[in-house]
Amino acid sequence: MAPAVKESRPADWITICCMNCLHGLWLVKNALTDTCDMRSSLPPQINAHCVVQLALGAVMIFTAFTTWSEEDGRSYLGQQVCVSCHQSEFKHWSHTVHNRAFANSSDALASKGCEACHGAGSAHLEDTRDKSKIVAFTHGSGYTIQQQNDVCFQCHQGGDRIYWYGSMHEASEVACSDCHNPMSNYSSTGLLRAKSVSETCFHCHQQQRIEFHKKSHMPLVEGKISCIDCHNPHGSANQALLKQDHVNKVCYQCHAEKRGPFIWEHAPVRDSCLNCHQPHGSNHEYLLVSARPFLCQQCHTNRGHPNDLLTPGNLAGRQKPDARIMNRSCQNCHAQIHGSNHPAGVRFHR
Amino acid sequence: MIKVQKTVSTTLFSWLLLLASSCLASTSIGVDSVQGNKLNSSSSHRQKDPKGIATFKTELSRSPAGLLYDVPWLLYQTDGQDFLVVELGALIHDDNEEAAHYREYADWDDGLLVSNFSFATTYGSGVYLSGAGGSVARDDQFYSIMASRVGAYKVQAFYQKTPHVFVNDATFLYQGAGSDNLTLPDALVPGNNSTSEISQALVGASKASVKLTREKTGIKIQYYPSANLELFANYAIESREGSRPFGGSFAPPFYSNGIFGGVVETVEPVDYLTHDTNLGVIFTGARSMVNLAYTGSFFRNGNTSLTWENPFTNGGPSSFVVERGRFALYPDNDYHQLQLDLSRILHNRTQLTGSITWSTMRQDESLLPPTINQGFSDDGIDLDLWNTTAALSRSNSDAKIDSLSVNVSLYLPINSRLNLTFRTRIYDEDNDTEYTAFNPLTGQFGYITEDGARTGNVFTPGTANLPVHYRSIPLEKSEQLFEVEARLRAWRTTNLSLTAHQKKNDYRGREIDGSDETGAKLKVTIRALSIINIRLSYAINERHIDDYDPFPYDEYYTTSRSGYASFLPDGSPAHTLAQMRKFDLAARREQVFNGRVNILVSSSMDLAISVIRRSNDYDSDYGLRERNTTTLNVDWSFQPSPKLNAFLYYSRQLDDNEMRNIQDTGFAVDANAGGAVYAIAGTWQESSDETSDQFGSGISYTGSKFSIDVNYSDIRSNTKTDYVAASNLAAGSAAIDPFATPAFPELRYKQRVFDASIRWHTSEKWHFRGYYRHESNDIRDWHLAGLTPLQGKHLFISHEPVDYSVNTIGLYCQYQF
Repeated sequence: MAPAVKESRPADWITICCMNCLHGLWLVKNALTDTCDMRSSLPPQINAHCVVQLALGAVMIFTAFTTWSEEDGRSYLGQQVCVSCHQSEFKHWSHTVHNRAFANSSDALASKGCEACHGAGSAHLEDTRDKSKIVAFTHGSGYTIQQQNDVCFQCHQGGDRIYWYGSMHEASEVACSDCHNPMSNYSSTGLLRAKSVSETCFHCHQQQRIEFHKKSHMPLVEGKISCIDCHNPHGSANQALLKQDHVNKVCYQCHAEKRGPFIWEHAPVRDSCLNCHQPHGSNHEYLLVSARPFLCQQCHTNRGHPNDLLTPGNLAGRQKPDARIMNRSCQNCHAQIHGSNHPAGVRFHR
Repeated sequence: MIKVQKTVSTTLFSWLLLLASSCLASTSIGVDSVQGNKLNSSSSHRQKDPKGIATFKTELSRSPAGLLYDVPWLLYQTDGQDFLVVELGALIHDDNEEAAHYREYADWDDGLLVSNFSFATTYGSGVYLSGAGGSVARDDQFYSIMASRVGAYKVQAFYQKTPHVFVNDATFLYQGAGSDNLTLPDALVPGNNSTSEISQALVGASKASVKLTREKTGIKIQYYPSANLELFANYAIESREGSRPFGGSFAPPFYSNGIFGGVVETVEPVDYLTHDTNLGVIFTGARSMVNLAYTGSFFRNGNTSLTWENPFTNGGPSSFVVERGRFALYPDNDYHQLQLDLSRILHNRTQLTGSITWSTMRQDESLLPPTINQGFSDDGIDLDLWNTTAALSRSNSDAKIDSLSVNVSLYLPINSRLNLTFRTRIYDEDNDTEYTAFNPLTGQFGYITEDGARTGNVFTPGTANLPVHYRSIPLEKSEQLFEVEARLRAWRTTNLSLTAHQKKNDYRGREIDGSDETGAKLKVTIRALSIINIRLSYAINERHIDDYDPFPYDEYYTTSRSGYASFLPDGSPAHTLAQMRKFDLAARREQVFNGRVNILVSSSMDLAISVIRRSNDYDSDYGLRERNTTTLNVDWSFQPSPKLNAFLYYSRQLDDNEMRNIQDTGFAVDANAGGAVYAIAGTWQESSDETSDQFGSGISYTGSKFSIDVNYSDIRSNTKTDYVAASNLAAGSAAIDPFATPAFPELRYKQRVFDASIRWHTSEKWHFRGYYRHESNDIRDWHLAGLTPLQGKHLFISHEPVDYSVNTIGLYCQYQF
């Protein structure tokens, strides 16, 4: 439930209604003097707008005395009151999925309109600059992050957010409105603060931004995948907010062929894809964490060819071109490095 | 009220119009969260609202963390609730067709195109239908459609196509590239050609792209029987078709100083089909919450094997000809998962949450024979007794891994200032895969190596043998984690958090039986200052391991079989260096510092600075010894008005690692460093230092008639690879002096992208957009440097990446019906 505003002043309701009428009169004055500069009004329809504004004020005064509500010292004014001042905000909000949900819901909370989220608005009329008088979801809000998030949880509890409390983001004092902006459409879906999921995440996770622009990367900046394909920013029982209980299962969502199991398994592959791959991007081919063959030689000191130092002299066109370092390096021969299902594939040659 | 209604009547229009990419909304289950493409990833195809969102405020709002919100899109005007918006035009560019990287995930073909479209319509009371798509009929096209009624149901469907280009202009000696059978041209004989004959055949080799295309179609249905209950069902089918670079070996030439054997870069035929489904129910009560979900994934490969003919001559002591090789490609597999999440809010916000997840991955593909070749190999093995499925110990894989995880967390607010969180996790795997390489026709354990191209790893009791790995190793891992976090609200807007955890891992089939990890994390969040928001954390994790056995695999090798006899008098030869520690198991100290500061420079300007330092020190004399990554990011944003937005950012990432190894000297029992096999003189050390810099900038201005959006990004990465060696004994090739060139050429990657759009708003319905993009790229990779199709006894299709500098021009018009 939205935190309460301490004082209740019914007179404010009347005040805002009167202000609405005055607003209408002011528009008329502007129209007459041709100096109208209302941000959201439509100059060609200025006269109709003024009439509507005056009529709205009258309707509001009427409804003020018929639908007045007061709860725990707070006074709900009704959406019309908010809209009478915050026309531009409402216009943008009315194009969001929230408006659609509110408009088609019989829920008592939804019927409060703006005040369903911002709390009872009566105290806000006292001092519109005091952010403590209304639930604000912006920097400098008079409400704690938890109080702000609780407002969202009035409707958005459970489901994807079942692990929110105690999660990494919650514990870091991340507010819902650090990632979402429910007041307008900045993104195609999800009411995000930026145009895409990844750009939203990059606001804080800039490290991942540079990594996703490296030579080898998954098609995130190309718009084909997003951060939430692998991570659940709303909380998870798993490490790094992963959506699966093992990192490999996250990878298998798109790379199902590597799931196996295979009759011959490669231990670090089964242990974690991250042993060899950097999922956010790499300057090495195939998202590898290091250049081959040195990546393989970080583990393989096996007697025989794996522990040889290969040098620039073994590169293509040099003194002694060597398959272990050219092109696919070790995987020129050990091609089935993710596991082999060939009876003779114990060393991943087949 | 009339005004309100009018606004509402236009709302769906623009809300749904924003579906340039649509989203299957769950953040906890499944993928396919977005549909889009590179052409539409730019913000330029939508106009921002020059008036902003605020009625009274002249400055933009900031998020609670202190960063300026962007300017929302301009709302479209329409007379009704039904709409259709289409942007179409033409694209031309001066692409270098060989530049695979330019087209890696995007289709930049010249020609007319429907860049994007969206539509929406409303039926009755509260039933909405909307759709969107882009790059119609191109390789990176995407579409989505949604029908919903609030509180009743939501049905979404999508289609997305993604190209993945690996190599353009690849050189194909083989015929049948992309199929499961690669045959040599008529002029060559399988397994018996000189390099000059191959070189001659390459003159007529074809050139083509190596690429694959993902196409995914899915549907998601959500049904809400009541306000607190949701039933959902998702299904998606994904096909991947094409090919990708692959390997292929007939005994690597370095064994024979380049005299015989051969390595071939083949192409794997990709004909994958994956069916994915999720079914579940979500209950959200006032205090109790339940998620129950089933996930199924079924992978099918249209190719079970890849056969390729040997262009080289193996030249062994006998007349045996290694004509061809055969890979077993990725087998079909099935996956099932059941997950139950339960949560209960107890007294005073205390929340107890638990989950249990069971999953099983199964694979039961028919196995291929141990070899495809026939005759007697050079070491006298009758391959005719190994080239049928009768030579297998069983006909199918019968592979299975089950896993079970249980998580419980308790979020316990002690009072308004102090929160405690307890978490515990148990994860356990059960690998039920047991394969034994045993040939019932010969009664022998072992296998044929590389289709007879190398000495067979066939075990003969009583005869001096090298150990043969003949049984699969059922790798298993289990984990127990306990974590406690105390969070103190020191002041109204300052939080302190201390987390401690203890984790125990147990392994089967690895060099250690288990490890213990203890860790602590201190985190501070300061929001007390009006102009600065600070988040700092420091974490340290120490991993301690049980006794490390460098070779615990005797039971899977023939050394454990009766009749095993080593050819060394004093025991089996050393398998690997005793002091090697594999980094995923080694004792380790990990430290992570994470600092993020958002500075509110002025009402229209903010600055975000972050530093992340992760260091890993491994307690290893040999193997990976350390890895460190440091990232600095500085982001500056300036928005003096809703009309004007500018940003700059700079990131630098430093990554270094160091590893050490010893080149062995031959066969002996002693596996220790400094022993007969691993002489100190053979020690070598490699270190890698990588520096990546990214600079980005952009400015957008939205006027009443024109808007402009210009962006530039530049990323440069350089990786230096150095090495030192104790002596010439470390070198893999005796003929090469390792001290002659103690460093590799730099691995280098540079990319510059300039992207600009100018939009002309001729009317509310008509917009015209001019688009220009310049992208240049420079890749230097010593793996590919100087690579030609034929390098001695190596045959490649790949080549050094081609630098490119591409200019793309697009002209579009957008009409709102």
